[in-house]
Amino acid sequence: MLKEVKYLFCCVLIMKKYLRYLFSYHWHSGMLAWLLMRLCGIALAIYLGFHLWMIFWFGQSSVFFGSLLQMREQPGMRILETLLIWAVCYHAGNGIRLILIDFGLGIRWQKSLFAAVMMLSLILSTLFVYPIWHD
Amino acid sequence: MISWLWQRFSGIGLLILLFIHLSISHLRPLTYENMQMRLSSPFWLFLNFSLLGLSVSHALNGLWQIGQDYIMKEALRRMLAFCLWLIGGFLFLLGLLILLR
Repeated sequence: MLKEVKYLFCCVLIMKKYLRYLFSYHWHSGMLAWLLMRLCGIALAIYLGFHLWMIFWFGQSSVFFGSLLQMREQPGMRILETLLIWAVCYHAGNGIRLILIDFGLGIRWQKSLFAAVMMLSLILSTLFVYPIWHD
Repeated sequence: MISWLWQRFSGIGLLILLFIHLSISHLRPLTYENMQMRLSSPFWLFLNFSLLGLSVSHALNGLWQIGQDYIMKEALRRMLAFCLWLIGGFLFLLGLLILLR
């Protein structure tokens, strides 16, 4: 018992050290943009494989596809789909921002561009998500 | 350099194609019959085909670039590239089977 408590304590200490290390960075909007871009990218890459596999598997017949559409109606699935569409919109918007910065356009306004990308992604994803929640 | 450039070009292509894809599957009711009808016309087939190629290459190219940030050993990088080519081939084949069924 004592051994386990000691082990747990060690884990907590390591976590604390790691968190302190993480927050010793100077957090700014550009870093947040980069981090979100990367996380959304990884999530979307995983989703792409999942999506192709699902459509391959459930696209065999009309009945199978109907069951997939029914599964999509569940609240958990709706929330996941909402997050997915926001991730797509954010990744696309920040991609435009990155291309602009690569060309040397708007480097001075990159913070306001990040805010604009956030607003745009929220508005666009609301537009696409609206039919999922109201039908 | 090539992977960076390809990421930009495929990104711009995806920007157009993916929002067409999204508006079709979300702003209109999605049924099996609609999907079948769309896949039987050469225009939509071409659009979906380019969407498949661009998205798979964009995704795996992105993972390769992330890997380059963290993997420093040459042998491990080559292993990552091999794995990504394998996954990419598999996903592309899966997409082809969906489109040409």
